[in-house]
Amino acid sequence: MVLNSGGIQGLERGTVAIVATDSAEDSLTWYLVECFGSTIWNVLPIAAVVIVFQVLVLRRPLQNLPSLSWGFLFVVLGLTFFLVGLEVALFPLGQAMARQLTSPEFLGDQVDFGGREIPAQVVWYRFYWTYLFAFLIGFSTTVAEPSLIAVAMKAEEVSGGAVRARGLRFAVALGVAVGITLGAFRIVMGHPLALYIILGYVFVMIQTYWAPRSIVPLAYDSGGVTTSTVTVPLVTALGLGLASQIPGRNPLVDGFGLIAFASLFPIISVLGYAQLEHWLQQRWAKKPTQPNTKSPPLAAGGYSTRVAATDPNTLNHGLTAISTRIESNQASTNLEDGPHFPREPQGKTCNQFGSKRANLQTRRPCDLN
Amino acid sequence: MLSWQTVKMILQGSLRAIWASFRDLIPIIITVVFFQLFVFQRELPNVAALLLGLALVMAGLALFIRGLEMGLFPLGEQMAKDFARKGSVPWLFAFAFSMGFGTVFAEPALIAVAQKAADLIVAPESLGDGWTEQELRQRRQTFAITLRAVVALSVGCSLILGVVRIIRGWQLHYFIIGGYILVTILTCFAPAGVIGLAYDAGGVTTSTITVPLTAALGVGLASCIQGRNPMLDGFGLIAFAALSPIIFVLLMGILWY
Repeated sequence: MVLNSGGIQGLERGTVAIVATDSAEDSLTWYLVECFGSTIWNVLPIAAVVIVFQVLVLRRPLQNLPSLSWGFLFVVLGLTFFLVGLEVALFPLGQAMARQLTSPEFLGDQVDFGGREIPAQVVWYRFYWTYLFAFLIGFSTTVAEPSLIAVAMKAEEVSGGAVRARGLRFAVALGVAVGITLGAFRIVMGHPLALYIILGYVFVMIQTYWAPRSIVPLAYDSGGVTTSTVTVPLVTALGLGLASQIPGRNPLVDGFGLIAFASLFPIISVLGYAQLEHWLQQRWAKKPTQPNTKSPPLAAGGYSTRVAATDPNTLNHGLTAISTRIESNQASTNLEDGPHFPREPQGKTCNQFGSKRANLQTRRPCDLN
Repeated sequence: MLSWQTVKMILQGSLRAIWASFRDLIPIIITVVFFQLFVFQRELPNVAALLLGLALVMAGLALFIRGLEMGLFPLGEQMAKDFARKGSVPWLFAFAFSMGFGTVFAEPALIAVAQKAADLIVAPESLGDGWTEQELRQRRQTFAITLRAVVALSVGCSLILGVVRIIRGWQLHYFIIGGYILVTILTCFAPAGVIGLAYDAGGVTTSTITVPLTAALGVGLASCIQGRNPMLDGFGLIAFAALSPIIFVLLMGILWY
């Protein structure tokens, strides 16, 4: 996508968008054509690779070719409309806001470091509008992020509903919101970026050790997904505005620094979301007297009866879990231990790498989501 | 031929999707309107363009999601299944590599970033005097192409590594944590001008079309291979694709200077 790049391009994109507001109607057609072209350009190599491999290597006709082609067309058209709409409506306004919030005129009555030379870190709390804007814009742009929607849909499908698409997206959005806010605070205070990032990754490592194992890959993936179409232009504008207004900050380093926060904190929040759910589930499992009419855990044969009853610690320690890996693959039915995946009926034909796995016809023992 | 039934189905689905995408946009609308009206205490500028843009965004998001369900997801899963059925690991590697390399090398965002970076980095100030305009342009061209090739190569390689990981069932977090430790070490040695670029490149590779296809491919592969769990092994390709360009570009920066 034209838009989903970081600092360098975000800067340039911002100026283009502002110019465009003057004659939105005139430039709309041009935008549509431009965006359509770049989306086509984006899809072309994928289509080429797929066709080449399908024809020369796999030598199998694609099933539902018309439906696939319609899908491709929808994706291209949809992305075009989406990007053009953002350029026309949201980016100019949001980027102008990010700049105004950090301009001396706006901060003048709050932070008077122009005349009296008060360092920004002394009056850091006066930037409250900036923090609120950072939080809200981080949250709201992430909720609307198409790549994240795609990954969340996939996760819900794969986990058989154990991971809710909406819950996952809100967890990621909350992570981005907190990350951006903290990143804005860091720019105001002038703390070194590396300190925050390294501490963040140490925290992620500790969390990975304790978190339910099956959520870990998804959490890492959602970290990579957030730095995309909607989030980057607005967040970069905020970072650049803030860094260029406060004396002693480097716009290039601090602008991309916010993006680094936006891809680190979702990992923490998604792991935390899974840990919270797991903790609630365990608490529930420890009270057998509590009636549950829908699905008694004994009948489920999932994690909470088979594994948690014997040794609740072993499986959840991601870093020590290799030894228990083989068992866990056989008992994988719910969120703690890898959810149940509905097997394809023709699974017999697609297992050239090994023999067919036993189909576990179980539901999750409880669903607290 | 489209029957009335299909048209009706598509229409119904689209309407539902438009409503869903409107719900996704509510937070952003509230944020922008709140700040404009209450914090800046100004009127909304150009309401017509704003509404038009919002309508486009909504329709676009709905179409995109519909397209995902109809096109990209089934395609990724079907190809993963076909490769698993064929059982040829080298061809699977070749497919993963060319998908990663092809999409990233042609990525418009990367082309723009590479051009911008070439202008910034291959400048008379850093090279010294005595360069003609012709030579300078040529060097910039070389730099931009090299950068794009390096980023594309990194994504191709990372997808191969990701596929190996799915087949062997290795744990993801060793790679990711190891990768970030490597990034931290390389950041200390890399020239300052390349660091921002490297982190930028990591964001460019996770484009909106590549992400769904990669996710579908990984999940499809993991659900076809015996003993692999789609949740545990299927995800993680995107994390690789976002991390590897940082490492490769930092390495390139160290070697270039």
